[in-house]
Amino acid sequence: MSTPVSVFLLDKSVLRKAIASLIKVEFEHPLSAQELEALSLLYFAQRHDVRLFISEEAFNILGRFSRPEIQIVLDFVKVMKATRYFKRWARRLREYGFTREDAKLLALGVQAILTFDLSLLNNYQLKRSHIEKRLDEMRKALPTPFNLVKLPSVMLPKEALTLL
Amino acid sequence: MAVAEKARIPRRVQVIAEVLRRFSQEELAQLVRLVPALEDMALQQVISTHFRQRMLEMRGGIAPSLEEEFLGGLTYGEYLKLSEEEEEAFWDRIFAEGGLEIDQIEEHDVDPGVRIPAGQKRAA
Repeated sequence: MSTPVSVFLLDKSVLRKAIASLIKVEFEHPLSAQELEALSLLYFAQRHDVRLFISEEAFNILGRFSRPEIQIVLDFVKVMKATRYFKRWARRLREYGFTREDAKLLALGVQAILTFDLSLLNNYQLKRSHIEKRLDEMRKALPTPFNLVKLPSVMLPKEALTLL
Repeated sequence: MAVAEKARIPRRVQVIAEVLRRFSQEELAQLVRLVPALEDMALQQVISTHFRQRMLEMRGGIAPSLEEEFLGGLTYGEYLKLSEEEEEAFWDRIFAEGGLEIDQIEEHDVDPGVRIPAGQKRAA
């Protein structure tokens, strides 16, 4: 039986939709479907004991701003820090055509990454089996717990909402 | 609801609302199953109210104005007028300003009690 997903890493596309949705809520503008999904994710994750993470880099960027919409989003997330072998794995992921940003997210070693970025989703699905083999090779040389790491799922927020 | 506000609602919507007021809970649930958009709207209402209240508290009870500065030199009003493409470019700029190369990112030691992504406990 697969392990239930309880840790999601949000990419910048989800973060910006969450922030935009809060601005629209404040000014009573209608939300797009993606904005509602991003906001629902914050709302339901807290109620279902699901932990939302962002990268340390994203936290440092957004943390510079004191706007309430940004601070509320940051209140709902924890920071995922890079651990040993992160750089090595991220550099290898770049060879599969991922952007620098996407390679960094994929290398953080979480259960699931949430994104609205279809190019990331599609590229990951297309190359996942090759990446899996590459990770298998790398894992053999790594100590515990790094040799136990698995590839993340990459999914749309609406898929994640069905898991909460 | 204020009389003026009600007067702006089309007559056909008011007629349906009158009928719906006579529905039982079960009939309302059946209606939502037939028109899922109703559930989405209700959900949006609940979530929006929750966050609107929370932000208002953060602002000390003072609602923001469209002329107030948001980020990157834009006011809230200007931000809300951005097209989807402009909004994406705006956020790309914000994130690029603090973006790091892979080799610039610090690798941290793993907490001894860490749970790895597979959900397994670290070996002793």
